[in-house]
Amino acid sequence: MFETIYIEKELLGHKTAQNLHQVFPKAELKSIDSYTDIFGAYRKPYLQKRNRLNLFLATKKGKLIKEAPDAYGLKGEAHYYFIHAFNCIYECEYCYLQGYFDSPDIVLFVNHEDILKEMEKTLDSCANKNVWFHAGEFSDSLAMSHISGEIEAYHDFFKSHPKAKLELRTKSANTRSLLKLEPLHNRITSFSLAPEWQTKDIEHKTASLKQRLSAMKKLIQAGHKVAVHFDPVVLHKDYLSHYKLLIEQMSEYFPIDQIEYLSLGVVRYTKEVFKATQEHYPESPIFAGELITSFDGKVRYPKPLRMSVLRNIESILIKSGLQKEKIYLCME
Amino acid sequence: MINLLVFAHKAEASVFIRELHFKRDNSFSGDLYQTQELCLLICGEGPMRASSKLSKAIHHLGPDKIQQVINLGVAGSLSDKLNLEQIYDFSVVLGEASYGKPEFKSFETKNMHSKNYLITALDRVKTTDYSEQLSNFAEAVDREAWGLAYVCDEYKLSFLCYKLISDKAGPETQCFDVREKAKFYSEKIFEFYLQNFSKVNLENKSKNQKLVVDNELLDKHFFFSATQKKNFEKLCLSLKKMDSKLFLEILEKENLEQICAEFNRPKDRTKALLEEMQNNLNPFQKGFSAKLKEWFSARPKAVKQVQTDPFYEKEDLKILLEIKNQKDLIDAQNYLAQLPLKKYHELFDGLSKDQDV
Repeated sequence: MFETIYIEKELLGHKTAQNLHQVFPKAELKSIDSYTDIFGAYRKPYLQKRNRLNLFLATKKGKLIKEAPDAYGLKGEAHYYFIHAFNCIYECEYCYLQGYFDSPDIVLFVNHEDILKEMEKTLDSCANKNVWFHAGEFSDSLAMSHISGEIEAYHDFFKSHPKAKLELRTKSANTRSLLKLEPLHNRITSFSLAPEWQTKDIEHKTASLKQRLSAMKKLIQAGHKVAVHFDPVVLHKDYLSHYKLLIEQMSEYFPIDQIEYLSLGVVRYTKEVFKATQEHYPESPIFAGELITSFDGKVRYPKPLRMSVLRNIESILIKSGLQKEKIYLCME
Repeated sequence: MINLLVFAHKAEASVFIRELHFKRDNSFSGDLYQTQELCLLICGEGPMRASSKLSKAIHHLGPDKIQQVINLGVAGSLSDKLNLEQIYDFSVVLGEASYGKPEFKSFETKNMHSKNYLITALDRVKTTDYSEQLSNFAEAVDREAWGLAYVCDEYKLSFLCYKLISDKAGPETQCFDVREKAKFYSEKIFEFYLQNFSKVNLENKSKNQKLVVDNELLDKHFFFSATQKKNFEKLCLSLKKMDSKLFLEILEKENLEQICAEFNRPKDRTKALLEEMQNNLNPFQKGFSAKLKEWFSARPKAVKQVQTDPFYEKEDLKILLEIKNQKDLIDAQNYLAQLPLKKYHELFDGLSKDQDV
């Protein structure tokens, strides 16, 4: 999977460094002073992730936790995201990461202690409030968790801080680390789900829909909390029947009211990411939808259209037994 | 359209010049050679010199006459993964900004499938430390490719890069003389060129083919301006992507004949066809616009304009009134009082019960 694994000199003895060597024996190992000497030092084309993906093991300096934008999560609560990694092993055609970093290489940050200290400070500054910490803004939260060991690293903190909530966002079915741990009421694993055609045709290398649903079932059975993101919804001429089928498929694996919350959002792009997507995937079915370049340069469906799409899916979810309060519209 | 082959040294190109019967272009002040289908440039060593020579040659030949630039020659290996005397293609070409550090700007070649990167060094790599620094970024090192790729990027020309690995970059380079083996390398590169390039040309041709709709009715009874033709091709591609069956239905004989029967002038037929394609591509926007027209178009004289957000993002309405007398004022008041604002807002919130939208 990885051509070269670069490890910062300070981290050569780190447990994760040893893990990497065992899991990827064919990858060349190189020690470096700082990941920034190589990652982003030159512009590496995004699609090079297909045949020349590198991995960096590094310490994140600077800001480790950032405030999430409005409408990022459930309303009325404080939302932050923390940066545990850059980039993703998957290749979704709508992904904003293709226009974000100057390299598709993966960086795993292992200074979890520093992140936990920042979380502690953030909690102190938001006394008496539930505070959400979302993982997965710049990377999939679970895809490599069995190697990075971070799920374990955060376990005790969230166990002893009930006001803090942890959201792990994923398109994987990698629940190995989670299933070894006791469930926590404040740790929620959220799965991005989409109709089968979307997972197959535009979410390359991700776990199949069935694998994701099966992983959710296992977690629910073991007492873990799960959530769902229908985000991004990609408009397709039969989108409603596809979402009806998806919700039926979900019900076959677990009772739908077991979901903690479900977010709904449509595909949207910044100008730069849209340009990158057109360049990388000129034949993508995403472009068949009624996307328009809006007043702010962002590319999205016209508001009446996207709201009608979201309301239609919301209505099927409610009819299928999911409480309305559990549904929120993402970035609307 | 010609392929422009670029070598750093004449010795690397010697077999090409001999076997393909290249003739020197005496109207160019530099080493430029030509046949009917090919050009060959000797660009010299070092990225600056290479870029300057290539710019000059492109200007001399005319950029629109060049199909692609192919850099051929030798390179030093920075990785054990590359074998000596084998030829590799490179997907990305990096430049060196300062000792062992890359330029941020990198260039993709047309060989996207290749795993190998090439870095163009500012100096000859004669020490282990230097080669180790560069090996963090690429598998091989040369002295000209980045400068050439830079120029190709400026001229929007395709760039390809193939290198024979002549040595391991580092201390060995000091005692290695490319001239000693130049003839052998040139023969190997020439052999490689003959084996591979007819295939590359074919691929290019098929990629460059534009969408052509072979339709007699369109040719005879419709008139497309240059802009309309471009728009038509764009719409064809989008519709095909969205629904290939629908795409065929729009262009089938019966539908085109119906348009011809409705409109006399070829210009109007084209306009109607493009409109039909656009509406099929954007059914929601079509329905939405129709609904707005229904709600806001029947208005008194005093209401000059009702304008909605052209991006369909904001719910605000801009209404322009021209009140000349008491009657205008009453008409405008009545019109405003009856505006279906609730329905309009419901439409924006996705709550409309209207089946047309």
